[in-house]
Amino acid sequence: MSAAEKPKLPPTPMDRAPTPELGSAPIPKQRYISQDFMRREWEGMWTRTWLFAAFESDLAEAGDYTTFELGSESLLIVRQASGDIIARYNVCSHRGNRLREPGPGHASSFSCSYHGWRYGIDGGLEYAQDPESFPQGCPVEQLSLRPVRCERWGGFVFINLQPDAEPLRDYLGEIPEHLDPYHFEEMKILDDWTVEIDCNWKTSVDAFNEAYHIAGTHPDTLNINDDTDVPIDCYERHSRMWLKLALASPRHPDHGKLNEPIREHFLRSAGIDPETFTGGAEDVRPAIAKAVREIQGPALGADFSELGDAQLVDDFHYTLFPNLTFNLFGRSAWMFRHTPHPSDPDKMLFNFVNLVRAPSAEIPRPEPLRFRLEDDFEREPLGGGGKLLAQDFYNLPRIQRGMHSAGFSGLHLGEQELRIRHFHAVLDRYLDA
Amino acid sequence: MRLPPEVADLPSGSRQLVRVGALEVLVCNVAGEFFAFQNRCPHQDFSLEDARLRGHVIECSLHGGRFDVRDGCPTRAPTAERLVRYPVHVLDDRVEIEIPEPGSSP
Repeated sequence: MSAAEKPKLPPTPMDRAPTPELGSAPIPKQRYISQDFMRREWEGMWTRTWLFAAFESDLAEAGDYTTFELGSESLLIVRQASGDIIARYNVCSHRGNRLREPGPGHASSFSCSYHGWRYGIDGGLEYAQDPESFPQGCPVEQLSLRPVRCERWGGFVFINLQPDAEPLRDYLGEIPEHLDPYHFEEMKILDDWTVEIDCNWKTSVDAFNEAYHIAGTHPDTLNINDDTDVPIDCYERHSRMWLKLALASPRHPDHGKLNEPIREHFLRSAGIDPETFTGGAEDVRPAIAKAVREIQGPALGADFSELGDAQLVDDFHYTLFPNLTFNLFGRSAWMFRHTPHPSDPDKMLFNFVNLVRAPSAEIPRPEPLRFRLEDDFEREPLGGGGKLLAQDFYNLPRIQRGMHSAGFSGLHLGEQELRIRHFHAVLDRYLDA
Repeated sequence: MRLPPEVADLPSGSRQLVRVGALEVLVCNVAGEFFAFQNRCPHQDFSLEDARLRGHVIECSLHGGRFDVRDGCPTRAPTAERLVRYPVHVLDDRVEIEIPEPGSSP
């Protein structure tokens, strides 16, 4: 079916979800710092939830594979000749050797570097040396790479370590209805890097799950966003918040004014010449939505008509429980994946992916990069948001160290931080199950 | 040593196995630039004839080891050894490689 024949998707629902009653008790700090809680999370949650594992676009041809590193586990995600994508534990069934190093690649088969056992790209064992020497019977007929549940949505490949997990679609709930109009499957990857940070993975998730920190952590952005009116919607597992952009916060002297950053950044990037723009501050956001939908989209060969005005101008922040967060800007998106360290609750891996729909030029898929937090982030090629993230990353290890202090007992959360409370309530459902 | 004339027609992004006496040489064309090295992965001496070439990186099909063809350096385990490279010259539309005499220093 061509793009023109595709039925138009309804726009992202804007109706408000009921506010959950979650009380006001402190969130105990042990949830962020204890080995025991980390073990409970692994057994009760990480091994039972659907997790983003790979981009479908990275697995174009049969035999293309990538690994997904989760804690101490490693999985192979492999494109089949049939077009299917499968997941298998990245471990030889013979003596437990890892089959492939972390990262993407291409294989016609997976040979073990220990005794040379060879598996097909479907995970079936094809060759074992001296098979008659196994009194249990020929290994080729008995052993294979252990399968893992693997399903797809929106160009993303998800895995679930629980063999009888519910289908991905059921787990995602309202998310496809909300996010399909963004068309992730059409987006190109501009940046893809991972940094190890000295904090718990939830410390990192929390840092992006509320707008209450904007005035304290990113005060230099108050001239382009309204951090005082940020609707929050909590769903069964997932949640979102809506941060309005291209206007100045009531906390900022530019509030109600059409200032230089809004003219130069927001109007210009929508293809509107700020010199000839005659509207006032309140006209900027509708003008941007109209220009993107009617002029910029068609010029770049993208149909933005399925996105509402707010989706084309503002920052919709979605958290897909447990560890995938999006800042959605209509034409582009930042995707953060927060994964636990294999053994240390005070460390985590932060993966940043910068996605853009309908780029003006052909963009080769960048190699995934690995940074240390000590690297100079403002000079590194972080794509958009480098300075913002550097401000958040400055806080994260300090928060983690502070949580260990006898002077701190737990998180004291306000209404603007409701998504953090909701996140812990969802986590508890897994841990108590 | 001059390689067969068809090597010069190797399309960009592809590679060709050339036998020079008992020696197997893999020649790669990356965006018009030719690179040549001994056809064996330094991990277990496996042939790189089926290795995938992507940009400047060649990936051994046996265990996924990767090398930068520009300097032969490994970019991913399992090996920390380099590919054995041969200097390449293109003269009169023919590709030539320099193969050191046995026993000479590289």
